Amino acid sequence: MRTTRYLAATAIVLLAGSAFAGTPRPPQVVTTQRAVVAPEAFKPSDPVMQSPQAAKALSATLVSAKFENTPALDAFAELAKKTGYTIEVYDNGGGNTTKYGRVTATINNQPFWLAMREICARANVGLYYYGDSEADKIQLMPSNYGQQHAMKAAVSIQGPYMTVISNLDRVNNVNMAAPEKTDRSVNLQVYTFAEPKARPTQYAYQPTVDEAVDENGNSMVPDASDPQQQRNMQSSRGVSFYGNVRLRYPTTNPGKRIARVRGHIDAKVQLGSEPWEIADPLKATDQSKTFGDKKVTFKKLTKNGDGRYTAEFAFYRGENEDQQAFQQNAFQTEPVIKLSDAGDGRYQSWSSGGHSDGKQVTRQFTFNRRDSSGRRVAVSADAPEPNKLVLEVPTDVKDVAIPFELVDLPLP
Amino acid sequence: MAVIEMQKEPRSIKSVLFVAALIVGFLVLGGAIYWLIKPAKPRTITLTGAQAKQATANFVPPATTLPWMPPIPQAQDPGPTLISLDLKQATPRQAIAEVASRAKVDLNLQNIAEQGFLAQLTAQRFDIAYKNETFWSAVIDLCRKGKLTPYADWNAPNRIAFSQGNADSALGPSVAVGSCVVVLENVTSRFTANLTGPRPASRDLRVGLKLFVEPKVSPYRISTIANLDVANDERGNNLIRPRGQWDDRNGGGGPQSTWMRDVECLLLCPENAGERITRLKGYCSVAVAGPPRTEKIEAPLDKKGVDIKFDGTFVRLLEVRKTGEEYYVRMAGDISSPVFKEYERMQNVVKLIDTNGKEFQRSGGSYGGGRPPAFEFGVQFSGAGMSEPKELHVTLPTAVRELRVPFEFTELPLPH
Repeated sequence: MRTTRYLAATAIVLLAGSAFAGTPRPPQVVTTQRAVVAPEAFKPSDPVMQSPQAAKALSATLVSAKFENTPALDAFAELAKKTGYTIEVYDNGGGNTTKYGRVTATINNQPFWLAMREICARANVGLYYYGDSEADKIQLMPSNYGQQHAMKAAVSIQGPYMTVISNLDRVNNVNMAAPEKTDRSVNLQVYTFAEPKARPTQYAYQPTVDEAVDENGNSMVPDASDPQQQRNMQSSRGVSFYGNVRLRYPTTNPGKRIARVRGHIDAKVQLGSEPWEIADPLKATDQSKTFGDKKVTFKKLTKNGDGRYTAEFAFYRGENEDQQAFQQNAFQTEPVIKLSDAGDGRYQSWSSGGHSDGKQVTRQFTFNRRDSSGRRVAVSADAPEPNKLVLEVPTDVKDVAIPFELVDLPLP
Repeated sequence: MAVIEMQKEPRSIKSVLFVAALIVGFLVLGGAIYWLIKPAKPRTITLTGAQAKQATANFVPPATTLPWMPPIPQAQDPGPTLISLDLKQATPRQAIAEVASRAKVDLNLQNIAEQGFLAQLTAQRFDIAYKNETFWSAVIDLCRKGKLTPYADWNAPNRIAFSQGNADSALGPSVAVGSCVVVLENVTSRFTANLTGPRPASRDLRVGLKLFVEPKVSPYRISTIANLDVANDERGNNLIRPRGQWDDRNGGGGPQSTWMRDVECLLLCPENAGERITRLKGYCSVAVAGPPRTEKIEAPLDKKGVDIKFDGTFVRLLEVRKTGEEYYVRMAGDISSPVFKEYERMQNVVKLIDTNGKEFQRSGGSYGGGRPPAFEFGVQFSGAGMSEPKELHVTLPTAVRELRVPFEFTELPLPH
């Protein structure tokens, strides 16, 4: 009897303890989702593939590699060596140590972005998607930025492009001025990454949806009359760019999964450019050069009171060029522009203003010094002055419809 | 008769041992838990010259704390401006202009101007009669009649402007409270999918309000989040969501309107949520303030942990750090104060002056960090072409008070 009492007392103590500990939270289960992969984004018969240069740029770079418990950064270095692309941690990790995992994988003659995704998904690495003035660089998300599982979401890899879904939500809204009606929509946010050789200079913020269907066969293609469907072009900074898709939520028998969303993103892809080097730019003024039928003038480079530098360029309208198209292109294209100095300094740049009179567009670009590892640094009096400015002027730009196809997405 | 007392049963050694073993067990368990969670002992490491330089650059100061401040005292509503009006066959624009002139309020009616003979002829006209109607009730009634929407221009946020004909901006039901009106705008639920696993979607529910405040109140800041007392659905679910640290903070976007603001009621949307929000009761918070006051701190590079308190508003100068040619002023304010909710305001709290009396130019800033109730913010100044900092000017509003605008709505839709 007494023994039973002891046992009961012990049980009560232990149960009370577990009650205080609370209900254990279910562990987060992260699974790599499905990828739709096609080595070719465009059929050989597609008009855009007719020039050999375009065909080369718009096909996936195929890579082979074998990793055995390899640290992720070593695996990326291997890919960088094989492709010639620069793959770096954004802002050198902000000075923090990166905490990526290791990779074991065999990649046999697969598109570059498939290899990248394999490493990212296995080693918990995200890709940095906010763009950068060093446009051809592929940047990894520093591990302290979070989003280490971002590349495990559903992706579409088509030729030199990879589109990954980053957010999907269903929004139900009642406007209280007309409370009898509920407006329902499904919103997808995607990021598209381009191989540097096929990087767009402009892209449509809203991808075009050609097919969208839920598991019950309901069409979710948005109405063409939806005022939120826009095709305006945005300028691109770097190899990544984002898009928003608004789908229709089925009114009857909606499914729990989206079976397929297929579409394309209108873009302008730079297939050729010509570098123009301006030596000792702080002293140089009013130098002009013509690229094809386009004249560009370097006006000046000035040092600002805050230690930054501002370059000014004028872009002139071609003889038969439509004024509106010229202005749109001149303002919406972010040219690759590099400033350098004798101290191995790298500079972050951004567009900082401009104006137009119809015949020419004048634009300013501001530069902030980084150290040789790419980190942003405070302005220092000891930093050497810039001694070279290089502007990459696009000489061959093609209109391209970048395809994407995402399958088996959750429909909340 | 002998009295025989009950003899105590001799204590069993087994039970003593059991209790002792239990106590020892708990002590061991407690010791083990403490060993697992105890903070590491501070260690002293001697660095070489180069390492010390690098460590100084990467030093992350410990989180700041401040004393908890009492709640802001409540302000008295000055009461509404009452309008009496009797107009025959007037356009809404004419009537709004008349109401504004009586309330002495500055309006921008350019976007709804009835210019030209045809516009004058085709403009809708009404007989309008108000007796002791509040300013905002009258204006909102006229907006409904004329399908107008009040808005604040980005470059003139204190001026009341109007747009015409946007059906999505039509005004919902409203409640007049003193010098303010609360308009119920929308109810929105949002379900966000988990893209990399089987977890259910996260669920969010918001009721959007628009708060209009008479310009004579001259708000210092209108909170973007409503404080809720009651939020229930018809199934008895309590929908009130606990307030998060970042719920009412705004970064960028320039100066905000002082007469109108979008205010959100942040709610929970449980899986078993009903079809209706049966009752939603709470208040919008409007901060008002007296004139600003400036405290000057001499030789700020040598100062650390300087407290400044003006009539309830508290801020601490943590340090002024020099990096290259830049100076970084690190401050901490009270997390719940309306003075430290918006990036633009925080950036204007401090000015740095050099030995020649010249003001340093701001070159950037940051906010976030600290341990509640401390909220850290920093302002970066460019030192290019400047001499050493001589003074730091800290400017804060005085007499900060809270005006509460209560509201209650019933039987709202809860869309799924």
